Amino acid sequence: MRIEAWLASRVVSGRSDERDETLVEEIQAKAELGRYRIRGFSTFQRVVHFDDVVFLPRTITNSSVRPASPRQVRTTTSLGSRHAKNPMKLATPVYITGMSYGALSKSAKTALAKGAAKAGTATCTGDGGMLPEERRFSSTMIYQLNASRYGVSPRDMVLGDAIEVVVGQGAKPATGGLLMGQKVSETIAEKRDLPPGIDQRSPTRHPEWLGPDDLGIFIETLREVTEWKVPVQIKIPACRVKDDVKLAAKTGADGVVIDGMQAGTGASSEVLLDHSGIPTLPGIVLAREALEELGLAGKVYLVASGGIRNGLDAAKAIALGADAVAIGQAAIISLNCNRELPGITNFVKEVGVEAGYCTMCHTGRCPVGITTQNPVLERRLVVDEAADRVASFLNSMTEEMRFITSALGKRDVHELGIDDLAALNLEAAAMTKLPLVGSERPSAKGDRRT
Amino acid sequence: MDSIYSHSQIWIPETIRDIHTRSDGGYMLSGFRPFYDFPTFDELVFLASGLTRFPLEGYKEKSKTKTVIGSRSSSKPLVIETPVYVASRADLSADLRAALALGSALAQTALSVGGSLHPGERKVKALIHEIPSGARTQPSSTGKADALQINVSNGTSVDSLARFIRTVREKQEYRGPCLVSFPAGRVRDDTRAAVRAGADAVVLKGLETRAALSIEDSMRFNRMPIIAAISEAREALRENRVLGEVQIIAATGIRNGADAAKALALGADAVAISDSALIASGYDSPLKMPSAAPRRAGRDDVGIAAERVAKYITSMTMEIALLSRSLGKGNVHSLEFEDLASLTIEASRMTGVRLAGD
Repeated sequence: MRIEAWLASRVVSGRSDERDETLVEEIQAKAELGRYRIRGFSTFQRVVHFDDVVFLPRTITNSSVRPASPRQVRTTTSLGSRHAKNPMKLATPVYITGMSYGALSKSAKTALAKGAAKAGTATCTGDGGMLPEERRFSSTMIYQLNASRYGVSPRDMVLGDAIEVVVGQGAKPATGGLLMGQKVSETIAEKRDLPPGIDQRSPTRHPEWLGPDDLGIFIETLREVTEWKVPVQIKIPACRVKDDVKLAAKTGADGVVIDGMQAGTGASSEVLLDHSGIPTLPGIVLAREALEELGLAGKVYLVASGGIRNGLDAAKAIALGADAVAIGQAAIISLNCNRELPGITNFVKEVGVEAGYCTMCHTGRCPVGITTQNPVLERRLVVDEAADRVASFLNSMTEEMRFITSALGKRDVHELGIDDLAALNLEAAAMTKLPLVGSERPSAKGDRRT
Repeated sequence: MDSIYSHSQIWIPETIRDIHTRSDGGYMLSGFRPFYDFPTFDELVFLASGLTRFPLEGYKEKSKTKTVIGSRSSSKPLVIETPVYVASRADLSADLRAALALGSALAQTALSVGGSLHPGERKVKALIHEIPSGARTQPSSTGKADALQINVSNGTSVDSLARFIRTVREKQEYRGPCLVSFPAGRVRDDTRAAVRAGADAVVLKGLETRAALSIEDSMRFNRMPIIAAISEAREALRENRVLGEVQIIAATGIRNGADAAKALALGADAVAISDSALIASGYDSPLKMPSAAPRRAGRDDVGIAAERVAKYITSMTMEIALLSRSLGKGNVHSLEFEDLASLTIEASRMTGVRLAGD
């Protein structure tokens, strides 16, 4: 760290210096490591996000619609009616995305399942198989199929209420899962058939299929196994969105999940976190356009994920064209991620940074017991309390969606549309094709190219 | 610095300090760039494979990084193992120069440096010797260098540059490539001129430059960002039908493998790192002038510093290959324009890369 002396010797201070220090730290870390850096959390890039678009509530011009109080607003969501006999029925259009048992502790997975069930929504397994507790406590469980096939069993698969085939994740598109050796405990190792303590780097291509045609055949197999009962959805990182979504729809899937670059992860190489994929906002818009061009909008459901923090973000995603949203990082934070628990945690001592700055998910040293396999740390997460926190958070999101829907003069959250939104800056306007606030409104038919 | 002006857009603490320092008779040091913001590689992202393309697997499938510079007219082009090489400087201390040279050798890549050569610099895998375009005497190092880089200064005409290149090639039977370097001002015109004068490659220097120590230094900030420069140079090569024949080297603003990969996708064939290599070396005061730099490093320190530089280059190479595989490319030089999206309207207009969502 001799470079510190050099930095201190410089006369500059303030804004630019902070970035310089981060840069120096990054370069020096690599000079010692000799490889790329891996970390958890999500991107640190500043990109267009939900704050850059705004709802324009209707007040006097609301006369044509029978006003609904927030309490009357409907939020129930049905996903998967394209081919599945039993679509997912959720009380709210927000569910908890797939996070692996392995990346997360058993307590965290159980709490998420219980919390989601309390809020009447779904949870999803992840790259590492199903935890029996997860099934027992969740009301709707999406069974995830990753390229690695870790912990995958047809016996568990038929217990799922939906199946998700993961093409990639927004946080690390086109690479497989990463589970650092510190987190591959005896139990995890057994479940994934790995030697304990060894870094697990999952493959990125699936064994059964290479392209969309094979994927179509594979999905048919999955339908046979599950007797055409449950929906099959495909999760795609937001990159070449239009082409990818069209191909996904062509495979015969019931739904598509589009995962933006702001999505979180337990471990990813930094270059992919920060430099791959497009933001969630244009991701949703392009995905919707792709489905519209195929005439499949409303038939193939669209789930948006990547950086959704609250009910307003979720409502904006729905207004832009999503049928539901999935949360990951937000759900983790509701479990007390990055929160100092007096008398229990000591972030500075345990991970070297204050609460609020921790990105140590990949190390297994999670002070609050979420992303760890260390039994001592895991005990800090009290499952039932944590489940209540998750449920409260999900309910607050739903509540927010009700309020904004009511303010916009609509009775069902799924009635939100692009004519309820405007962009606050040029980038957001260009990326979403929404009008800039104050500029000409698009026509009622929603001509996005204004 | 606490100041009532801290929140002002114009009178930021840096500006105030700058004026104070100047009025004290000094000149201010500014880190990696001017104090203001301008578009960087961070405003571009890669569009990794999904269902449209197949990614390559990390541990089974390679993305080649071998890089060739100067294949247009030289019979002995530069062949290096990674598209990242080190740009050293004559004004660094001897130890630091030795460390950068050894580091580049360990990383199997090139080193560019001007002035008289340090003994360590003769042992690198590929030595690019920098000479000013106005040099009247022919460089004595021509025979030892694997490539020559002509640093074009103000007032160099195409004819004199062409004459210079011809003289080096013919009279000295020089067989290596001739690189032409210029500040990124009128990049399109200058690239065409360099091509006409017989350059094998152009080395672009944008405004992401090292610290300014003097008024002369600060003139470096009168350039365009490197992302725009690469794009202009690529267009010039395309217009002259020498795209792929004449190489583009991005010599500023490269901080990590992602920057390098984006430079390649925009049209560069290689990137040169200087400030970041100095930081990687771990030395105290890379920006001090040699006379002021205490000669305290022993031989071992040079070795350690060299290893750090090499490791840093390796990390960058791995990052480039990682991104390249995520795009399904078996060779990092197959990265292309269509692999990128812009996150801002400025970056999109400057580079021609489509805005995300467009």
